[in-house]
Amino acid sequence: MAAAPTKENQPVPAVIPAGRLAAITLASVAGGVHLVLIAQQASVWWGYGALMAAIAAIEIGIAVALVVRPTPGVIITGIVGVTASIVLYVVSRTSGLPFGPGPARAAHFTDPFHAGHPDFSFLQGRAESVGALDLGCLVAEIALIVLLVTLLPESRRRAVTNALCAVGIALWGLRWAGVLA
Amino acid sequence: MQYTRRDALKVGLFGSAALALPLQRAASGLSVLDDRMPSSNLPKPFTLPLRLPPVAVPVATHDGEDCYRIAIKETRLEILPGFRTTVWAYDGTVPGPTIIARQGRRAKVRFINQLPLRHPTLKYTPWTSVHLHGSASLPSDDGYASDITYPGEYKDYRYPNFQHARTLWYHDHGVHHTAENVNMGQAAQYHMYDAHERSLPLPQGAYDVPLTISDRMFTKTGEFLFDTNDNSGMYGDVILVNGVPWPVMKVQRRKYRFRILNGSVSRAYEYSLSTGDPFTVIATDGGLMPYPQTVTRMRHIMAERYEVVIDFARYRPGTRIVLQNRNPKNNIAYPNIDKIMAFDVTDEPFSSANNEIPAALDPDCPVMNLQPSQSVKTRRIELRRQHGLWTVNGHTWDDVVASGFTLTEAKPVRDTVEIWELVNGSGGWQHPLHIHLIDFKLLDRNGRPPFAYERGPKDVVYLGENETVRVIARFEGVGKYMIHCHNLVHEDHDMMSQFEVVDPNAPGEDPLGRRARNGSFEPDDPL
Repeated sequence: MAAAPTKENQPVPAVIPAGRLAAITLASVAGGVHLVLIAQQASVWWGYGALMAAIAAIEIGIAVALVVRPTPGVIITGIVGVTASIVLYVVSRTSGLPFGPGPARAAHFTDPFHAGHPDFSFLQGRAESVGALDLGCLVAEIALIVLLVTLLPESRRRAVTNALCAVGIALWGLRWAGVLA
Repeated sequence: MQYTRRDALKVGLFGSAALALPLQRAASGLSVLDDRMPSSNLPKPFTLPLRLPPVAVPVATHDGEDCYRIAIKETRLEILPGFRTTVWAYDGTVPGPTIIARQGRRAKVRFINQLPLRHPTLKYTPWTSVHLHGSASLPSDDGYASDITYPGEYKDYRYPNFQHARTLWYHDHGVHHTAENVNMGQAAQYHMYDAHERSLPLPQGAYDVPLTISDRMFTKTGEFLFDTNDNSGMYGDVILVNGVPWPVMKVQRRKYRFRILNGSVSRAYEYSLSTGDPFTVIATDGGLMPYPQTVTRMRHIMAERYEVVIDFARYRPGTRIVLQNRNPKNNIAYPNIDKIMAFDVTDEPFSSANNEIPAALDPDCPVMNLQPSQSVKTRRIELRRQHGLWTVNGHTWDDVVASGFTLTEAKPVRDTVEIWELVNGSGGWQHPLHIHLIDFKLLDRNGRPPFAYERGPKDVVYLGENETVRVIARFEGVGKYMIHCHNLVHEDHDMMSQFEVVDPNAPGEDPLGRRARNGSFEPDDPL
């Protein structure tokens, strides 16, 4: 005898609603852009290449999951992953990522002789320039988050939008504090 | 697919930060040049008189040393008429005070970093390291890039002054921020004289004139503007000579000796006189050439020093002679970049003493007498761009740092002679390659003899597009010294490595072994 259908294991309807379809498309586009950038970023540093691959895997995974199993848990995981990707992007285009080949130079400034100096700007990397491809990807990711939020049940939305709001406030705060140039 | 107004606001806050911050950064980058002072507000060439930098005065003589104290500090100078420009300079002057040293008498200079903690627009911390360029100083006194002095600290640099007479210069060498610091004004000449040079009838005193040539760009409010063109180089639209835009100098009808330093961050020049007349090169980076060389044009890349004699006796009073710049390729041109300065010939009476150029200047110059047969090893040093970084043999200074300062490009044995083959395989840019510690002689350039004006002791070589230059040197001294591109933007990003002169019986001094200090000075300290 088949298990009684519950909210979590209901079969996915054959027709995908427009909102979810748009989210699938945007996740695929964003994941595809990151996929394309793996080789270029890996030529700078293998770690950046790995990061691109991880983001691409997350975003393409979200697209697949939205097709086969669009549960609230999957959607929240998607929002967290895409938000992390966006935050990394903002840091890389403002102050530069604080890890990788550039910031490795910081190591020799941390000797005890110079301990206590109040400025830690040397821990920052170098900001990358904003390009058309990555800007397009960013717009796709923001739109993806907007759509993913709408796919959440009402009961989960508030916590998620509060978290997004907190991230936004943190980014603006870091900008005003001068941490993000 | 609905949003409450509250949810829309919250997500909108996130989206605004995500989109606006990178765009704002990109827009501010684009606007750097938008803020450039319009050409119409720049002074017309040859309207301002040439100034000479001040001469440094020792504050004490102690233990056989002349002791100087130089503050690296912020001041505001009138460089463009009607505007005040913030500079971060040696004793607050651009160029800084000239130090004049006698061969055989040591000097100690306390450089005190009195700069603010952060640059107001470039947002970097102005740590400093001072390199006396042309001096065979000990490693810890050589301005090792990572041997930095933070704002509020000072460091005493000891200069041995045992080499031949020459024009040296001191400038910032702090890791990753040399270009910004030099652009803010941290450069000055240092003249060392010796008995042989003083015995020659070359122009001296008022007729021995330092000319530090550099380029700058200014904002509409008169502040220095800094733009690296995606780390290819900083090219200004104003030529400064001794800190004066396109100055004019009154000259008498006799010979003058000009100590010309290219103190630019990235700009190379090619000089000629507007009359087409020749001039005579008498000295290069490492001092007097064996024999004077007469030329009608010469290239001059960053950090090189050439001493040039121009004879104004052939001109009638009232004649204006312009020192022109033919703007070598891969340097960004602006209106009036083709002019450096002008000389107005007067009919003032003048002294006829020391008004000659001897046929031989320093034929016994040791480095210029080195022969390829003396070389025990040939090495290749290649400068190239790799993954967006400028590299020396594929290495950057970050690689040196990551190695715990053990990575070296070469380990020549003390007092041996080597040939180094210096290679720039690119057609897109030139590199001024500087090898610390040593003087070298150019053997050939792309297999052909070096230019006439390069036939003297050198420590920087113009590595033009697709050029290979072979140099020969004796490696005296011991320890680790830097080798780098003197396009300071390339140097900062990160075309710098090091070599180590080794002596099995005497380990070299640690270049990081004597660091900057902070706090108050010792009570019995002469400085």
